[in-house]
Amino acid sequence: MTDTAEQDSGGIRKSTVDSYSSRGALAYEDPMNKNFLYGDITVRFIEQIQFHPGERRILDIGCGTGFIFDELGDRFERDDLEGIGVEPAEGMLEIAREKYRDLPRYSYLGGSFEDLPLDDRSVDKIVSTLALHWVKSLEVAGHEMRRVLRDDGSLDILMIAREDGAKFKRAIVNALKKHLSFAQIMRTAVLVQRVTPANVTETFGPIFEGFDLNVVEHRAVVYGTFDEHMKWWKARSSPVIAEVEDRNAFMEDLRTELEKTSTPDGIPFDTAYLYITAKGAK
Amino acid sequence: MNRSEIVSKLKALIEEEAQIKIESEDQELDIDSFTMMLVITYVKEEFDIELDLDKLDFDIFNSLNTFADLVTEEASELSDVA
Repeated sequence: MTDTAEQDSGGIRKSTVDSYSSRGALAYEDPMNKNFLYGDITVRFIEQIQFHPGERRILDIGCGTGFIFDELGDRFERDDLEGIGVEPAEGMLEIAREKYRDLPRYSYLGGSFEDLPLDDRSVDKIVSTLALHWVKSLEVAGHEMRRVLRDDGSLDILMIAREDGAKFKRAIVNALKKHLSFAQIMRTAVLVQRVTPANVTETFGPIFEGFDLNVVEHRAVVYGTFDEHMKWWKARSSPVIAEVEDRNAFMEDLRTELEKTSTPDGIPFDTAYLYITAKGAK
Repeated sequence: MNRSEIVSKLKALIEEEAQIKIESEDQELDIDSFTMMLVITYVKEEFDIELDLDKLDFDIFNSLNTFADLVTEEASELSDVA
């Protein structure tokens, strides 16, 4: 079913990622966005990444402003690793290049999961956080990753899962109903891949034949105030908000809908995400 | 393609995708917009019926019956044309 849904939304998805402006990238760089909700989850994921002996050339796909290399800088220095970041959004790349302009072990290139500007079997390890859900086709992305990854290489990917924010999004849709048509809401519903562990295993299994592939789903409820949630939600959902004409009225409606879901601990967001790992045979 | 065939296929799809059990065709469906989009896409692929998003509303997903009625009607119109 994943592949069928993406057929009607290819153009939307492409424009979504490519259209991140410098302004959007700066919102993404905001500490509130990094530290709340998926910021914490991303840091925990990065901390548990294992580097195998002989892995030196590390590719971060959908690198954004360089967050993974920010976090792993000490390890890269200690183990003399090389970091290559690939990102389709020019605004993000500009920030990453500026941050790393005096550090030659890092390079940042324009590209995407489906079009990697790298030679066959040229990287030892692929890492990625919160980017794979943006792809138009999981299968194409899988083939492209396999093309550039060495046969004994490995990958570690953090990806949003199908059920991520299922209850939270219902409140959002209730607010959107007052501002967008059914058709507009339906199109926003397929802006990103919504996959289960089984979907990923089914797609990547044959592509990464000979690799030890593991897909594990994690879930947690994260509570916050309306303003805390809006910081990350606005950064992540700018293409949806852009469709709304009266944004002030929409934000008020959204506050009303989300506060209906509030508990003594705050407004809950039901996260669901996947750890995808694979290691090639020696 | 008759209505019971349409209902049966739609029921199986929605139960699998939304992880719910549909006890009756009038049962209120509690499915998210992503699942709705999957169902609309499935109808196009399985029944060769392209539903016009601009003419639809959330009400058509009130129950299996309401959605099946729409698909059956569209199928009937297609067969009349043919």
